[in-house]
Amino acid sequence: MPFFAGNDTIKELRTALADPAVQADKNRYRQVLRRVVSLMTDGADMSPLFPDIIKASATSDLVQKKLTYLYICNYAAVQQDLALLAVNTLQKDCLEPNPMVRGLALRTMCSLRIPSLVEYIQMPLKKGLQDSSAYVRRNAVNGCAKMLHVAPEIIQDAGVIDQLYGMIRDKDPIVVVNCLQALEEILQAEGGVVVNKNIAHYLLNRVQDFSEWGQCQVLHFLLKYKPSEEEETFDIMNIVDVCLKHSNSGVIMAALKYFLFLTRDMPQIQEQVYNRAKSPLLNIITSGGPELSYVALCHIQYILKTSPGLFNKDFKKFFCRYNDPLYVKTKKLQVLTEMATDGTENDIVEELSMYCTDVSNDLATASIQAIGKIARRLPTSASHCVGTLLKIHGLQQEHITSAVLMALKDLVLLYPDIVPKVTPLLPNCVDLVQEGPAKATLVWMMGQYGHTLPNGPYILEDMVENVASEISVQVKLELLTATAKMFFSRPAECQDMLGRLLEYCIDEDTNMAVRDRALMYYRLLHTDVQQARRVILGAANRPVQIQDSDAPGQEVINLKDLNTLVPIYGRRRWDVMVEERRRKEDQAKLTNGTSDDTDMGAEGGEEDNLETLEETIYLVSHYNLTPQEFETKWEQLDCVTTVHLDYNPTHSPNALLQKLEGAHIFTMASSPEDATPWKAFLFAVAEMKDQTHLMLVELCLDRMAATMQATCKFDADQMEDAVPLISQFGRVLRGTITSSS
Amino acid sequence: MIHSLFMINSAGDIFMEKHWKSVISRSVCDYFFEEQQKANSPEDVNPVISTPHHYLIHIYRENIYFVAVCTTEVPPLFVIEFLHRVVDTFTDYFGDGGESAIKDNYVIVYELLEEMLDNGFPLATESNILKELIKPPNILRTVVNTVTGSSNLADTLPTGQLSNVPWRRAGVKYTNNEAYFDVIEEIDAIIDKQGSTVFADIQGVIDCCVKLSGMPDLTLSFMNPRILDDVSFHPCVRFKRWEAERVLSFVPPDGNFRLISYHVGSQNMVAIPVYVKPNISFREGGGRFDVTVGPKQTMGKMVESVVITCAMPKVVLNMNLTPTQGTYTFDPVAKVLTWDVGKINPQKLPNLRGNISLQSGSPPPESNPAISVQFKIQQMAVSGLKVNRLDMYGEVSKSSPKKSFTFEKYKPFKGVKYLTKAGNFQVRT
Repeated sequence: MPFFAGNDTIKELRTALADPAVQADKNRYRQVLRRVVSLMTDGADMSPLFPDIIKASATSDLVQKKLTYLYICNYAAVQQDLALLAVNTLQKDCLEPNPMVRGLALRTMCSLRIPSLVEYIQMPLKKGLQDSSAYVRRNAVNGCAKMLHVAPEIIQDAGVIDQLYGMIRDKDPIVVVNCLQALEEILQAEGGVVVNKNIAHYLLNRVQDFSEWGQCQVLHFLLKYKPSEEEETFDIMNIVDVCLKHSNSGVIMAALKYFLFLTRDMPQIQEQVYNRAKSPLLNIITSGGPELSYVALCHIQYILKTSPGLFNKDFKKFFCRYNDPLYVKTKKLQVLTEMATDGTENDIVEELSMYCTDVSNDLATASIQAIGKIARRLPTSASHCVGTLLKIHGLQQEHITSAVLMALKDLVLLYPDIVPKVTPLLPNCVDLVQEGPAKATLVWMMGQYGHTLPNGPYILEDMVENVASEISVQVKLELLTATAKMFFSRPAECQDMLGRLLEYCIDEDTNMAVRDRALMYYRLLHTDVQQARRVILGAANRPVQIQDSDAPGQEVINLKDLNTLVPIYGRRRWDVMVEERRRKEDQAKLTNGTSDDTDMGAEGGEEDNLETLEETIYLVSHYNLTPQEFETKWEQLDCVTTVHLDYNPTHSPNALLQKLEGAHIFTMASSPEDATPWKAFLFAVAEMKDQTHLMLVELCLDRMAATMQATCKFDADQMEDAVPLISQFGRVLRGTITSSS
Repeated sequence: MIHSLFMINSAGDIFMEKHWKSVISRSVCDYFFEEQQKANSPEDVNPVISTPHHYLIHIYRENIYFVAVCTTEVPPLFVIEFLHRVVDTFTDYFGDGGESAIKDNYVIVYELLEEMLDNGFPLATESNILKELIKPPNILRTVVNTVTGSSNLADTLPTGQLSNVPWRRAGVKYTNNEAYFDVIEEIDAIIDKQGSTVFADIQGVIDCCVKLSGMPDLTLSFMNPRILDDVSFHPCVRFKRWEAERVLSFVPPDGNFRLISYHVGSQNMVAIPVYVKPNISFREGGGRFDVTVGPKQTMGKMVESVVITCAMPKVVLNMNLTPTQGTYTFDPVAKVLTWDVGKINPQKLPNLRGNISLQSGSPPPESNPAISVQFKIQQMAVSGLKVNRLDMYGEVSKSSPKKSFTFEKYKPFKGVKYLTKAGNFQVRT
C-alpha cells in the first residue's frame, strides 16, 4: 500500500541532492539517488523531488542517469508541467555518441506517455529508427508502439508504417521481431501486420537467428500466411522442424501450433505431426517445473479431445508423484481418466485407487469420481471398477465413503446387475456419511434397493427419528421418497414411520419443496394407494443414460485455441468468462461513460465468482409464446409447485402485472381487474447452467384473505434439477410482488 | 503481453514491482492472495488466475511468487518460461535468487528487468549478452567500485549483440583454453512395494564450461548416439547435421551453458541402480519401521550420498530407530524422517529399524508413506551414453577482414565427466 513519506525525509533528501559536497562525490550522490528510488519502489510518494532529479539527470555518469530515468518514468504523469524540463535533457542525450545512452534516452522518452510532449519526441524517434546502432533501433521501434497510445495520428502516418515494414529486413533479429510486433499493434484495426509470401519466406530463412522469444513470436506471425502448394508446405515444415526440439517449451508449443495449422487440410500428415510432438510434450511434463507441467497437461487434455488415443502408450508418465502440487495432481487425474481405454484401464484404475488415500481430501474424492467415470464410459471395465470401489470403501473414512457412494449411485443405474454387490454396504455407511449430497445419495439408494436388506426399514427409521435436526433439503426430500418406496415393499414395518415423517414434514418443516412433496404423497396415498404406487415407484423403470459432457473424442478442437489460455479453462468455461468480462465492461461503460482499462479501482472484489453465478437464474427479457403453446405446455408439464404470497391491497392487480413484466415475468392472460376471484396466467424463461427452462404460473388472488396463490409449472426433466429453480423463482416472485412500488 | 511483474514473499508482502506499460495497481494481487489462501501449501497455488481485467501467471521459486500480470491472451508457456529465465538470471547474477539477494541488489534487478523486457515483449535473456550490458556484482568489484567510483555498467555496447552468432561475443581471449563437458543423468522412477518398476525414465543433460579463444567450431560425437532419440538442443547446435550424422556440431557460447537435454525411457529398459526393501506396519498406538537399502545394477561403481526421506502420516508422534550406519532425524512438526546413509557398502547393507509411536486414541493410518531416495554415482551414465571424441576446427579471426584469414591455433584442454543421480525417485510401501 502506498504511504506518504514524511516531509522530513523529502526535505532531507532534497538538501542532500543540492549539497555541493555530495554532488562532487559520484558515489555519495548515487547513494542518495538510490535511496530515492528505493523509497519510490516501496510505494512512498517521492514526486516533490521531481525538479531536483531532473537536475541530476544531466550527468555523464551512466548509473546516475539510469536511476534518474527510472524516477522520471514513474512520476512524469503526475508532474506533467515539469516533465517538459526532463525532455530537454533527454533530447540532448539522444545525440550522445554512446549508443547505450541514446537508446536509454529514447526508451525513457517514449515511456513518458504525456500527449503534450509528443512534438518533442517525434524527431528523435524518427532519427532513432535510422540509427546505426541496433540497440537504439530496437528502442525506437518499441517506442513507436508505445507512442501509439499517446499520439496515434503520428504513428499511423504512412511514413512510419512504411519505414517499419522496411525494417523487417533489418540486420538485427531483435529489431525484426520488434518491428513485427509494433506493426501488429499499430495496424490492429486493419487486422495487424500483413505477412505475404516474401516476408514469410524471409522470416523462415532467418528462423534460426531469432532468440527463443523471437521464435515464439515469429511462429505466431507466420500463422497469417498460408502456403499455396503442398511442396511449399513441406519445405516450411522442414525448416521449422528444429523448433519442435527446442529446450524452451514456449517455442515447442508455438511450433506445434504452426505445424497443425499448416497441415489442417491433410489429416494423415497431421497425425504424424501429433506423433512427432508427443515426446517434446511429455518431456515438459516430466522435466519442466510444476507450472510448465500444468500448462502442458492442460494442452494434452485439450488435444486428447480430437485424438483420444495419442498418449495411450505413455499413460504411466501421467502418474502422480507425492510431491507434485495439488493442481498438477488434479490435472493428471483428469488426463488419466480420459485416457483410459480397453487395455490400459485396469492399470489406470489400479493407479487411481492409490490416490484415494492422498492427504488432500479433494484429490481423494476426485480419484474416486474418476474411477466411476471410467466405469460409466467403458462397460467392459465396469466390474473391475466396481470391485475397486468396494475395496476402497473398506477404508472407512467419511470423505472416501461419501465419494464411493456417489460414484456407485450412477453405476447401479447403468449396470443393474451390480446391485446385489452394492446393497450390503449400505448399513455400514450410515454412521460414516453425514453430509448433504452424499447422505441424500445414501438415502436414495436405501429407498431404491434397501428393501432387500433385512434391517432396511430400521435404518430409515433412525433417520426419520432425527429428521428434525437434518438441515439439508435434499436429504429430506430423498428421505420422503425413500420411506414411501420402502412402504410399498415392506408396508407393515413402515406404515407407522411414514406417517410420522409425513406429519412432521407437513406440519413443521419450513421448506416449501419438502412440504409440497409430503403433501403430494399424503394426498396420493389418501386417494388411491395403487395410483400412488404407480407414481412413486414408476421412476425406477426409466432407462438411464448418463452422458459425461467432457468425455474425450466428442469435440473438435479449434486450432486457434492452442498455445493460449483457452485449454487451461476449457472452451466452455472460457466462453462463459469472456461473456462475463464483456458484460462487466459494458456495465462499466454505462456507469463511467468510458471503460478504462487501467482503472483498477473497479477491481476491488465486486466480481461474482463463478460458483454463485451458476446458482442464480437469469430471466430472459424477450420470449414469444403463443396462447396455444401455453395451453399445451400447461397440460404437459408435471413438475408443479405452489407458492403462497401475501397480497397488499393498495396495489391494483394491473399494477402488479406491470411490476412482474418489469422483472421479466410476462402476462399471457388475466381476468378483468375487479373480477373475483381474480386470475392471471404468466410465463417466464430462465437461464441456468447453460439451459433454458420455461416456467408457467397461474396467479390466483383471494381478496378476502388478502393472499395470493401462485401455481408454478416448470419445464424440467427431473425434480432434482427443478429444486434450485423453484426456490430461486419463488424468491423472485415474492420479491417482486411484496416490494412496495 | 506481460504488463507488470510483482514479487511476493511467503509472508504475503509485495516487495518489488516493475511495470513495463502503464502502472497497474497492487490491488490486482488481491486475486492472487485469495487463491493463495485456498491452498494448503505454498506450492499448491494455481499458476494461472483470471481477474476481471487481467490474467495473473506466476511461478513459485526460492520461496517467492513471481507474478506476471498480462492483459491480452498470451501463450502461457511463453510467460512461465520467461519468468523462470528471470529467476535464473537473478541466480546467475547474485548467487541466489532469494528475497534478500533481490533486495540487496534492487538497482541491478531493475536494470536487468528493463533490458530483458520492453513494451511487454522479451528482448535479451542470454546471460552472455546481459552480462555485457550490466556487469554482475561481486565482492571484489564492489570494493573496486567504491575506491575508483567506476560504474557497474559497460560504457560501450556489447559487441555480441552485433556479431553474426547471437550467443557468442566476438574477440574472446583466454590464456588457458579449456572445454569441460558434464554428462549428468537423473533417474525418475516409481517403484512399487514388491520392488518392480512402475515407471522409470532417465533425464539427461550435457552441461558445458567452454573457455576457448576466438570463434571455435566444435564437434562432439558419441559411441552410441542411438540412445538419444528425444533431445532438445541449445540454439547453437546445427540441427541438420545431427539429423544426418548424429554428431553435435556447434559454435559454443562463452562460459557455462547447457548443450543438450535428453530423455531415455519408454522404449529402453532403465537399469535401476538401488533397491529399497521397506517394511512398515501400523497397529493401534504404534508400528514397526524397517528399511534396508542395497545396490542393484551399478556396473561396479560406488553408490554415494544416499539420503532417504519419508513423509510419515500426520498421526505419527515420534520414531525411535537404530541405523546400522549414517544418522537419522525425525521432524515431529513436519513429520518427515530423513536418513542420511552416505555410501552403500555391498558387503554390509545399511538398515534402519525401530518403533513408531502414534498419537493415542487416533486410528492407525490406512496407507503406508512413500519413500523418496537420493543418491549419486560418479563416473557412470546410467543410460550407457558415452562420448567418443571432441574435435575443434580452426577458427577464422574476423578482426581484420581485409587481410587474409589468420588461423588461431591452440590445443585446448578437454575433459568429460559422468554423473548419475536420483531425480524423482520414489518407492511405494
